Amino acid sequence: MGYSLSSSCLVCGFQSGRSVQVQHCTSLDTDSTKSSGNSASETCAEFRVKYVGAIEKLEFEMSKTLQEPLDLISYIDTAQQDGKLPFMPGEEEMILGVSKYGVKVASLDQCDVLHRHALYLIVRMLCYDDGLGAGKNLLALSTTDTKQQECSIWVYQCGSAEQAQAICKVLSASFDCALASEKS
Amino acid sequence: MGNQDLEDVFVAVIRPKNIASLSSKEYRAKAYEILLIEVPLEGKEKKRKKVLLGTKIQADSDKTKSILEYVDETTKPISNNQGIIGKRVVHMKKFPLDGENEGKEASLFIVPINVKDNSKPVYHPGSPSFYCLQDIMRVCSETSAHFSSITSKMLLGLDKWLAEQHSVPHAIPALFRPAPIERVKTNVSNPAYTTESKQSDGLLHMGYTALEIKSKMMSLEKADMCIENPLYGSDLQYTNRVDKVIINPYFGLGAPDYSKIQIPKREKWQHSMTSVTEDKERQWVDDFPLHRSACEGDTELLSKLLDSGFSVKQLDSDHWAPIHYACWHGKVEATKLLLEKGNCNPNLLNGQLSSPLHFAAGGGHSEIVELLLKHPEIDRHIEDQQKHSPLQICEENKQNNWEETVKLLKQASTQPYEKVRIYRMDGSYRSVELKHGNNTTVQQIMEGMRLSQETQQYFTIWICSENLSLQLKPYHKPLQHLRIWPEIVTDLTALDPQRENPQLFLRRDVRLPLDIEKKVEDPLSILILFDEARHFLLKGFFSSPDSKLITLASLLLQIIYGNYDSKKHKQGFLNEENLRSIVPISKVKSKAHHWTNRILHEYKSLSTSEGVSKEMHHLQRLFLQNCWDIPTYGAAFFTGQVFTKASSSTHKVIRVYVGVNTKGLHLMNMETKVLHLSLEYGTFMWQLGQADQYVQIHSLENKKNFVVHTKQAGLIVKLLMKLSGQMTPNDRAASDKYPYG
Repeated sequence: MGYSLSSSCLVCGFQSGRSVQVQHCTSLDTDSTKSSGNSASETCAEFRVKYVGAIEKLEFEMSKTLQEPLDLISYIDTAQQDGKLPFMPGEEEMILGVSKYGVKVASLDQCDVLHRHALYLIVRMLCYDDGLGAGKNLLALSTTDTKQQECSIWVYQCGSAEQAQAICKVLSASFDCALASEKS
Repeated sequence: MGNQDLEDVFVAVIRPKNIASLSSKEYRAKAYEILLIEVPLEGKEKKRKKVLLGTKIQADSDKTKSILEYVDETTKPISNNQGIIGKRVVHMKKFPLDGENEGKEASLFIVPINVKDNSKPVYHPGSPSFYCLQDIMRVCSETSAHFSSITSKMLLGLDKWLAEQHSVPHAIPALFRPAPIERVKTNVSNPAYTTESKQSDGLLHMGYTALEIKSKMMSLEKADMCIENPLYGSDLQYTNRVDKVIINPYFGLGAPDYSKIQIPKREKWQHSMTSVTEDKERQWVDDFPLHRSACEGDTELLSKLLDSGFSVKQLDSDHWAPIHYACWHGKVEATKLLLEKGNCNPNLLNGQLSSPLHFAAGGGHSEIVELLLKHPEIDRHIEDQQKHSPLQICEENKQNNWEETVKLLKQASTQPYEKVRIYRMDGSYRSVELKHGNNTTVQQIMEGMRLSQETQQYFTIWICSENLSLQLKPYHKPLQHLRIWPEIVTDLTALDPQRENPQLFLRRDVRLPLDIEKKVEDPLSILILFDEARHFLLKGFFSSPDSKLITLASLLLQIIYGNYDSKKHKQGFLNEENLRSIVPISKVKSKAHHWTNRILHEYKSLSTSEGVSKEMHHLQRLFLQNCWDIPTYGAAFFTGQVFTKASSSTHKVIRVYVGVNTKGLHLMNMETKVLHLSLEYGTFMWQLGQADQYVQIHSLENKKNFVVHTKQAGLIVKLLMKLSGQMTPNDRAASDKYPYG
């Protein structure tokens, strides 16, 4: 399935992404387009991913020690080695949507929203190889809470390196979108 | 840095001998090599023991980094000064120390490294070297002298730990997977969480501080608009009831031919939707000008339209007649014009069975109500479909002058009723109250005749003009028949309706069987029957032998003049004038004067006869007795024409009376009063001709057919069926077509 983000969202510099082949990506969230009238920034890119697991409600101080991407990877590796996090995701596929409002993970029929990470609570997104030889890429999302007292790490598995990188790019674009938005 | 901050750590650097061992689910110690250092055994120069790499690191430092640096440093001598880079540092377990450090603990860290390569290991005294783990474990025990005691414990622990890891899927590959640095691909950081140390100048991203960025992002979370469902939490029951169902009538008929479907332009069908009612109104104005003029009270137009022959009875598309509109809209003059000039029935019902009085009363139009109540034929007790009287409607609606109207309606109920004259055949009449105006039925009139219950059953109301007499049914409304008599005459005869003036008569019921009549003893009933029989005798409808006519004449003399008086009743007494009152008119001139002697003779013998009662009703009954065997007695007479073949070329038209009574069918020449034919039931058959324009009679005796042409054929056949006893339930339905008799 071709990657079909509407070019206008990608005011935010993601036009090149259109040529990237990403598995199962749908583009427009038409409902939100109607409500705001600003179709440019309402775009929501959607991807099919699998959910590995999460380490929730760590003390916020921990996020400081995990600021370096490598530290984060090490931390997740260790958590896996210690059995706190599975090595492999569940079978069920989910839709991970990225928009300027953040990241939303929903069931395939989009009826159930499993996770919703508001953009302003996302600290970082890291894409890396799981190193288990099958070429699978993991997406680690670290988030905090509104009071910045806790932090959580969410791990998703992407179908391919390209898809994982595309997700990162869209999120990066979303950060820029949020800054470019006129609302303050 | 004090000693307290230093922590004893031991490091087990291990590597698989080949890549295949990583995917093995079964743990084999020989698949691994471990890095150990040989140190001299204390006190024994030649003996040496092997120990794990061990060092002291700062407790609060980055242990991973420290340990990896230590391994790198320690292994430089054995690999051409290129230290071994550990993939990661995995903390396995803490072990209690013994000896001088008893009470303390030391951690064992595992540092996995790359698979054994082909480079030749360099032996360097005092430096560690790789040993096959299986070889090591074979000689390792807690008391083994080959290892230091802590190393022995740790090696045993490591052996156990590796075995455990092998049982966990992915654990071993994960242990030896590349270091994070080799796997990291993309890192996206939220500029809102950029740490201050990196944010050297305070303005990092597109000119915003982290705090500003965060507030911008937070604002996205804020809704522009919030709509709450007011019903939420109201406990309103969820219902899936359907308000309306529209089913596509074409469903299931297959795909239509879209090329043939044309959707009209929006303006067109929108216009047509709104103009349907307009068109309807315009159509109404065109189709029903009399209704419209009555509705608007346009008396001038109304008058013209009545002149040009518009019917006041016509109902429009809503089943209203003009008078209903006039009464509804309170048009007094229009109502008056319709009643007077249009001779409209004041009790005319619309399709919903409401009368003009209901409309006028409902609208509180007192003047119209007054006008209607004054009408001689008004039914002041009329009820609508819901059995409501005009008074009820008026009081319910309370429109306009309703109070005045109520007064008028109440007053009217105390006013005397109009009357109608019901004649007898001798010319006398009784006036009967019309309680329901022209809606009064035959039955109601009969009740108003004040006849005894017995008498009532022999008679009924007939409507008769000079040349047409029809017996009415109990539910008929005689005044309405009087009103439309010209139409009835036109329907049933070829006569000029203007010359036929109808009146209502009390007459013998044609269905009265002779057996019943013979038992009648009530003087009034006998009188009425006598009067009628005499009338028919004198008019020539009783065709019978001369002797019978003479007897009847003498009886009449006795009844009229009393007992025979030789002084008065001489030869010259029976002049032509007196003969007219005792013999049929047709015989007065031709034969009657030859009969005078015989009449007087019989009269004389009757008067002097001892055995004959001279009571009037006995004499009248005696008269009737003599009539009963006359074929045409008690018959209803219809008129018609018979074509006979007078010569080979011409047809002769004979005008006839068709008499139908309980005996049978009788054909009488209208002019000569000669009875052509008299057929009893059972000896003939009949058939109604096409379009009810003639009746065909077939005599079973002489096999002759003849045809009577008459517009009354339907009535004749129906009466024949009824009186012959051939009426079946099915025929009864058909008989409603022919309402008289």
